[in-house]
Amino acid sequence: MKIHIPKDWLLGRDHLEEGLAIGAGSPRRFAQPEAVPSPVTEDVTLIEQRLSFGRFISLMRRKHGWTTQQLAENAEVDAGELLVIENDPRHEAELSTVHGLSKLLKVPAKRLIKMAGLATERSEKLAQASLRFAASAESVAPLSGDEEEALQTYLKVVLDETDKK
Amino acid sequence: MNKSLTFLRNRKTGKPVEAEICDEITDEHIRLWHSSWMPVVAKAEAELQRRGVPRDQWPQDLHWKWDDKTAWSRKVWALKRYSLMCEGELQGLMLINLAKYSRVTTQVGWHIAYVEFVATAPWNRPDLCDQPTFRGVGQTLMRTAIEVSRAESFRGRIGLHSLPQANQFYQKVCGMTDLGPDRSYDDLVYYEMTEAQADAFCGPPQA
Amino acid sequence: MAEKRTMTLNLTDAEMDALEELAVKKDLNKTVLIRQALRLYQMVDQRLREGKKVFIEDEMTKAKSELMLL
Repeated sequence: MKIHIPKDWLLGRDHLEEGLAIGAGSPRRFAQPEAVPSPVTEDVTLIEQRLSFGRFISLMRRKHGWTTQQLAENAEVDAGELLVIENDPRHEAELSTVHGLSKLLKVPAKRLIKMAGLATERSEKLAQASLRFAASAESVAPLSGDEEEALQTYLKVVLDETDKK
Repeated sequence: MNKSLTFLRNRKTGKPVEAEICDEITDEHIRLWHSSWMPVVAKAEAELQRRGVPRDQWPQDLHWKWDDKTAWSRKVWALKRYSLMCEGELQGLMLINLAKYSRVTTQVGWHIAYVEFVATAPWNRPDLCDQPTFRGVGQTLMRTAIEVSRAESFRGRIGLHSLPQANQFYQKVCGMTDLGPDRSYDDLVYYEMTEAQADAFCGPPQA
Repeated sequence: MAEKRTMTLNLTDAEMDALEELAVKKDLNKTVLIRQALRLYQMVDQRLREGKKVFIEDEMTKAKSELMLL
């Protein structure tokens, strides 16, 4: 439908909005998981992707010999959130946290955003690499030879992945 | 899909700028949301974190996934989508539900155009940046909701649940009735606009 | 609005009376009321097709009963 808003009307009153926020809507409305088409398949893929992301962060942290607190300080992100990222695949990482980690770990932000399951476009190649990688790692122990190899293989896929429009 | 000409105010120059309301949220709008809103949101979050603002005081709509909302809305006929463009950039998004009822005592049971979600681009938000770019997005989208309500024969009646930082806008600028916090909507304050309030806000209906 | 098409609707006396009564109650004309009824029907139908259930709750007693639709 055509919406007619007289120019004079808005320009005579836009100043009333100065300095004011306008958002409306309940954050919990829509129960977001329902909003995703084909919920069963999509949720499973997303969970697995986040699982891989959490494992990746955990392995990279251990590779550097850092505790979660040290990683948080170095990346200037919230330690509490890092703990959740490493351990809870239902958690959706904050964009700012992903950006902080990308700077510290020298992984391009766009790639890390995809790994964290925050991108709208999903890469099949990355999803499959995530699935293969997801079968590894735990705790603060130094990386075993196998874990180091798995991490390097996964890193290679992530960094080789080309952006798709 | 229809596009309607409107205007916003460029805050830096003080001049009016042509804008366009579209009665749809297309894939291109979603692409723009993702490529232009999200990086600005990420920077804003990083700044909030740097300043040590507790997470529960961050604006609640920063992480709204408009791709999911849009996809869901396409499955429900009663949900209508609107986007606002200006200077080639996405300035605002809105979802309206046409199957909701008024809670105002004098018009209980009458239909309203309920604003499920509305947001302005992060660079227009005074809570995220010191120098917002455009002004007028909020009133333009509220006027849009009213015109949709009128077109549906709901006489301009609208309703919405305001985010806490926006209560002043809906109460003082839009002149809506505060019906109190709604426990089933995260205690967000529920506002409605009656026909008379809609007329006061935007003048009598066009013939 | 999108282009519209016209249809003729045959109703019994009782149905027409109910439609007119509802239209007055809802402050809508009959055409808009039918359109709203369609939207509500589709909304419920969509939920059911997603595997969800629709319940009616008694405000006083909080007792819930499922809305059974064919």
